[in-house]
Amino acid sequence: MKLKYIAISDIGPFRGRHEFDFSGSEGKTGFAIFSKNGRGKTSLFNAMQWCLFGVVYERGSVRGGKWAEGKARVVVGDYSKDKPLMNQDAYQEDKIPEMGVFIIANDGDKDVQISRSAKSRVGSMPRHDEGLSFQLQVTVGKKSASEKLGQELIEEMFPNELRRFFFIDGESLEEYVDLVKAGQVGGIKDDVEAVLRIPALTRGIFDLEKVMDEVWSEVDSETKTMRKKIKSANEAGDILKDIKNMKEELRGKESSYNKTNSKFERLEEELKGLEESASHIQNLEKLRLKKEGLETTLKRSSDSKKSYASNAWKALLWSKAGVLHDEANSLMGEIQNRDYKISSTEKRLRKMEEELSSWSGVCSHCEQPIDDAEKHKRGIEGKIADTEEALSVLRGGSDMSLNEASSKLGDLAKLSPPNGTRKMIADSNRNWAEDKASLDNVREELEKEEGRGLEGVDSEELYKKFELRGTMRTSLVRMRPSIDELQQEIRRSEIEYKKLGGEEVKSRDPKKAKLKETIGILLNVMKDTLAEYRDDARKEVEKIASESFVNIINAPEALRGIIIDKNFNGSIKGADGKAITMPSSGQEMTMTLCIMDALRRASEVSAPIFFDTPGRSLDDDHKKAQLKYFWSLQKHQFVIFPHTGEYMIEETLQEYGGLIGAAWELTWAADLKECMSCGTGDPLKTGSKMRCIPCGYEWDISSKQTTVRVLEV
Amino acid sequence: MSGVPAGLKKIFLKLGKDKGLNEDLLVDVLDHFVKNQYLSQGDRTHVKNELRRILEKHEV
Repeated sequence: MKLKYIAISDIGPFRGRHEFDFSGSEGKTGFAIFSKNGRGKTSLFNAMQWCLFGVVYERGSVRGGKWAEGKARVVVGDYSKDKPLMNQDAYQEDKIPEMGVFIIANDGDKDVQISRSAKSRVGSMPRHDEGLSFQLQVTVGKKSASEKLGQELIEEMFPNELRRFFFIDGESLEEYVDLVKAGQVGGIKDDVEAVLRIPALTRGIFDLEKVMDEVWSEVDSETKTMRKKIKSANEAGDILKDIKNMKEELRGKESSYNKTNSKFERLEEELKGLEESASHIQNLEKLRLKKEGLETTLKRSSDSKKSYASNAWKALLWSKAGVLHDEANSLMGEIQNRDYKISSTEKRLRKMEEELSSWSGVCSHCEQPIDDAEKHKRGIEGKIADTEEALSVLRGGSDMSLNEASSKLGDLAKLSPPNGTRKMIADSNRNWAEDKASLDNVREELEKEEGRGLEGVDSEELYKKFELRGTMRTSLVRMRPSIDELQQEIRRSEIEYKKLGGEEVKSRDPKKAKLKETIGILLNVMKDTLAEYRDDARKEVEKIASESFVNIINAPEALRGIIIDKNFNGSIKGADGKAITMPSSGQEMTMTLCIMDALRRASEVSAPIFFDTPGRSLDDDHKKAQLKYFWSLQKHQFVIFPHTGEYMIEETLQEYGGLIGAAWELTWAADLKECMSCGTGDPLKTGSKMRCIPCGYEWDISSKQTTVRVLEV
Repeated sequence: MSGVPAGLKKIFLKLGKDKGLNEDLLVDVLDHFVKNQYLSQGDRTHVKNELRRILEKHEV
């Protein structure tokens, strides 16, 4: 990518729009933007980064042996501490603050336009970047895109990962020198690998492995499907065998059925017209069967009748014995009652007799003399006499003992028939009579039917034929469901067979197997390439860096180039081919620049190089050699942002005029040594103003807004 | 994006061809990887899908 034109608006000290035209350089690749401190060199440097990548980082540093970017800069915020990118006056004065960068360039034969802006969405003085609307519009050749896709278009030309090799900050470079020098673990390994496209291999291996997993999974699934198909085919084979067997069995059954059926039909034919005989025979058969049944029933009711009749005498006798039994039962109750009364009366009598025999006239309970004792004694004696008389009456009743009464009752109970005997005898008699009558009726009917006879018909033979017809019909009826069931089973099996897809098994997809094989080979090729190329890449960077270094240092007898060891640490190669032990800081700085240049060249990314404060830490010889070398590069534009103390403007333009395409100076009004109106030198400073004595033009010198002055090359 | 480093391309093609892979396939695959080398692993689904498409295109 080559710059043709840049315009910036309201960024850093640049208030309003300022333009830088790179188009008239006529093939020259050197550009310089000079200024004193604070005039906007770094702001312009940052504006370019912001336009290309949408973010500007604070100065990076080496952490843990690796380079780390600083934190991202804000566009708007607190101007006393955050160092926002937007011009402070624009932020504070404009109703809708906005900053922007516009670039016109070309990439090979394609025209490139990039426009990025940040504009307030919330009116004046938005407090944070969240209050801004960011817009990006990119056109490359015929392609045009905005926002994320626009960023992708930019990064196809200018990868963000490589920006550090194109935006070089002289101040950070000193830290980078430490990183390059021996002693820092890993050193610039990540940078070398990034520039030489090693991520293409490492991330490519990752992608290939993912595709491999995907294909494996598909092949595996295919294998499972195939296994399933084979299993299905086996099952289908078994089902097919079953179907064949069932069909065979069905044929046998149908044949048998058909034979029976045709015999049955013939028999039916034969028996047609013999329906009357058939009716007679059927009646005979029916009556005979009925007779057999009734005979059995009668036998059963006869047995039952006999059984109940065995208890008939008890039923008859009980009409008398039952009364005696009840009387005996009642008598037994009376005897039991009498015996109890005698026993209790005897007990009472004994107690009174004892009381009388031990009479003392004193109460047996309270041991006090009883009043009227004699009268009381006579009372007892009277009671004893009454009791003895009552006892005598009780003893004078029936002389039957309880045992005798119980025995009598037991004997009478033996004559008792079972419960319901009378009813059962009656029922069994009635049943027997009914069965007998039914049998007699059937016998009479059968006798009549047998007596009918049929002329010219052998009823016995006919009967057998009808019997055979019945058997055949039964047999046919029994055979039919079995045949139907078998047919259904065959149909079910045929459906199942079709569902399993028959016995055909498709072979595995050969394309996937081939793809898997190719990926496997490709993975090995990439791993082998990575191993082989890593070392080649290191050597390549070492070779290019050495060429640049020798060119810039211009002391081939003493310093022969740069060594980058296997740990990617850099050192300067002395005359003996070994690393020199005490390089100067200028030599180390040059070595670092050369390694960065080598990395950039090896990256094959064609983009401008922006170098802020390029002469820092270099002596005059190295500074000159550096400019001469970089401005002679034909592939890259090399834009430096020197402090006017690093490179003197007049001297630089004079010495390198042939290599410089354009140069600018960034100034404040106070820096002007010539009249802005007539160009006369030595204006007179009066307070906060400068005055041109010849033409009288006055200008304010208190402003810190930058103006861009195009220098004549 | 600008070209693939010559050294990388040379080794990759040599090793690939030695293993019997087609040169067009190797060139397409390497270009694809170089073009997408800076995309992080989380954003690489479309890179993987395109890779598969390239592989299948050359296998058919």
